[in-house]
Amino acid sequence: MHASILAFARKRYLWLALALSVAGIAAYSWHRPLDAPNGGTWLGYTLGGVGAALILLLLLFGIRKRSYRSSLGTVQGWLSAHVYLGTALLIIVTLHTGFQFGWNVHTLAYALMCLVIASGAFGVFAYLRYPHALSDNRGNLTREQMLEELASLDDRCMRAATRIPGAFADVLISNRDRTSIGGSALALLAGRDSSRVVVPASGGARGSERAIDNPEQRAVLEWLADRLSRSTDGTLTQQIGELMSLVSTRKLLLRKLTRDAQIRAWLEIWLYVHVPLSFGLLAALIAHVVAVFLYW
Amino acid sequence: MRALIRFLSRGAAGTVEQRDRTFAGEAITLGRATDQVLHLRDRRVELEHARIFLRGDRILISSAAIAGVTVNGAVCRDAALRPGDVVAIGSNTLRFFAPPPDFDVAFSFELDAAARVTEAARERPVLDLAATRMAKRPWAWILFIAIGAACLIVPALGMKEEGLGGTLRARGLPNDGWWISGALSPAHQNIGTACESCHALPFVRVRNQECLACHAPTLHGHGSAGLDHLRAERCTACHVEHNEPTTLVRRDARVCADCHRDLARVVAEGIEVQPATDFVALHPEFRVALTLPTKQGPLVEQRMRLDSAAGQERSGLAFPHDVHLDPAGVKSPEGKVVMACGDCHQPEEGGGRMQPIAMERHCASCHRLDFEPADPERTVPHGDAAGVLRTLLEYYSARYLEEYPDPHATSRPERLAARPGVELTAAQRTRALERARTKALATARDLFERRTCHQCHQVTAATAEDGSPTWIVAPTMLARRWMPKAHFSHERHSTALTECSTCHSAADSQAASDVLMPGIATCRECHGGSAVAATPAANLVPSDCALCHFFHDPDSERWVSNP
Repeated sequence: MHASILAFARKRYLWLALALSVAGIAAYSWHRPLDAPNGGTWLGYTLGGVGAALILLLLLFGIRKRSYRSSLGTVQGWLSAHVYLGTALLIIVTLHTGFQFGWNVHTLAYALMCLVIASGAFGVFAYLRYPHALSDNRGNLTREQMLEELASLDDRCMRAATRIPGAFADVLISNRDRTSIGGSALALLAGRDSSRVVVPASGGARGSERAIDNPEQRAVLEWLADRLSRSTDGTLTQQIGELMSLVSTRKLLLRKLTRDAQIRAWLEIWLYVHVPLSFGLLAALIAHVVAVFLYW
Repeated sequence: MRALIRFLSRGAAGTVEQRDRTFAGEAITLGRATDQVLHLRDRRVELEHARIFLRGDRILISSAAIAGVTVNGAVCRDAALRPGDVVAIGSNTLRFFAPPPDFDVAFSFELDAAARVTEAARERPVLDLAATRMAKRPWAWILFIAIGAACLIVPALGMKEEGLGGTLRARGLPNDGWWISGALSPAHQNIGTACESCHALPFVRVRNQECLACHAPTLHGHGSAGLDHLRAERCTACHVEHNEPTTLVRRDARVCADCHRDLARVVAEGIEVQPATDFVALHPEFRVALTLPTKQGPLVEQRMRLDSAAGQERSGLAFPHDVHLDPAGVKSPEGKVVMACGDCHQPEEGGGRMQPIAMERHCASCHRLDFEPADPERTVPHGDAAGVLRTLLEYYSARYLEEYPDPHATSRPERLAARPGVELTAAQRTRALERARTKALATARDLFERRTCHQCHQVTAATAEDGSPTWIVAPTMLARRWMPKAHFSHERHSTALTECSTCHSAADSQAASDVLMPGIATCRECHGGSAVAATPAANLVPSDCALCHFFHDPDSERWVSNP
């Protein structure tokens, strides 16, 4: 999706939403009910009816976008209407409340609606902003290509490491195996790299070894740099240098992958709030309407 | 614990390469997580699968994983290990051998075997939310069902089953109280949680009969107009509950202005009506209720506009406020006395209106009713013209019959006859009574026409049927209640207005006929109409109709409000 959703059909739905909102606000300011404004005046019932109809229409978008055979408008048009009418809904329903809030079912429905709209607004923001960030980050690589690239880098690291005597092979194997990005929703959203690596302790063969944190390949690069600084053999120095350059490339690739996963997660996370809360809102809306007329 | 871990890797040519690692620490952790000491890249292995540790000199393996570990072919959770034992975890194999000196534990671990498995079972990193435990559909269902049950189904069940409803409320569980959109007004607090006492039928608006179960049906007489058509209205058209702010009565001026803009349309012919829509925009000048004499028959109370020439009180009294309020004082039996309004005008209980003026309480201390300088304690009765003469006759008769000497006696024998202990003759008695009557009449004339009554009352001398003189005191007709169609509280005004003279210009009033009630212009100095609420800049009190006026019949005590 790109900005054309907002500009769909010459912003037809923007004008519709604006007309609805302006009409609602005008009617509310003109209307002087005998009592404090509330949902039970003729204007209150009208605004409530329009609001409920809008909510149902917006919920239908979830069905329409899955009905590939439907010819009832384009999905693009539905989404454009979904965004604009959803914003108008906030105004219409706020006027419907008459700014009376309390600890009750009615305000619960209103609060849920606000959360759904807020998460949706974040979704619009995400769809306008993140795709650019996504393509800026990954260049012209797909994620699949990045993963393949990572695997081939790992092979080259292994080959280079096994040529060097000493612990290099073990360290590089553990570096490969203990690389960990993503995993949980929180890790994805935070772009966390919780990789580890096992490096021999500096005490030599008699010392212990342990797994240490290795975000962005930092620990393994440090270890390699340490080895490089102690190297007196020209061949070894060259081999370690080659290995370091491979690991540095690996670091950049991992960073790209992590960032890619992070942006994608932010691009999608709001839907995990938006969709369940929409269904909660539907239940609260039904409860609100039935309760109001049950005790009319 | 010091452990020797021997990694074995098989080369392509069948050669076996071994590398020893040393571990020093509490326990060797084994699992799929990257922070484990022995990292097992196998999906069948849990993140933290097992631990190897020392207890005393025994080597123990303990696994919290469901699959457990296999020691020498037997699946178990805990086992003691000895050299020669083989432990299998998933496809990984640990072979224990006798530890060299300085080590507590030693085992070998075949790398290539692990690598073989892990190539096949190698996990792609989880880089999509959809692949994590996040889910939309289950949460959608959970929220839909939970909110639907808590906000609708359970309260509705509690509404049908009274016992269940009570339990739900008592425990704070979902109940129909969650549906309340606003508080009940204080007057209806006693209804409490008995929603059904008003909302008798589901999906039916509250009917008048529910209101009339408690309230008298004659409520809406609306004064004298007797507007029966008001009964056809729904009570809830004006009395709305559960709204905020909580007001049981709609105070909006439009409720009144609906009819009062053009009252002639709705009231019966012959009833005088004045249009009114708002205290400032359109409201007639105040009318005071004056008790006026008619040519014949009883006195009637008429409401006269303050600004009309007829707006004069005809109380039948002479009372100059200015004389009484003279800052230099007013004459009294005890000399000059400076009076204040509050000496006579005292508020009723509650501070709303003023108590009626009474001669005995408010005037008599100065306006004394004594008649005989020699006997200042004796007074004539007030409010009883015939009784005045009777009192005088009785007083002087008794005195002339008993007293000695008779000051009016002309001859010596008569003076002698009147001395104490001597019975008067019949002729003497007749003469004494005649003299007493002459004295009484003279005193009465003095009291009525010159000295006492005349000061305040309009007195006319007349002749009774028997030919004797008599006096007629014009009836006093003080206003009982100046503005009976509005309620007013002096107390409520006393915080802002401390001087009576702000509204009542009594100090300049020379005649009792002056009506000292303030006109609408005076009230408008502080009271704005209902529109004031929207523009508070004018520093006026927003005043809707109900601030001063009743809707319900003011004679029905229960509904007289005095906010």
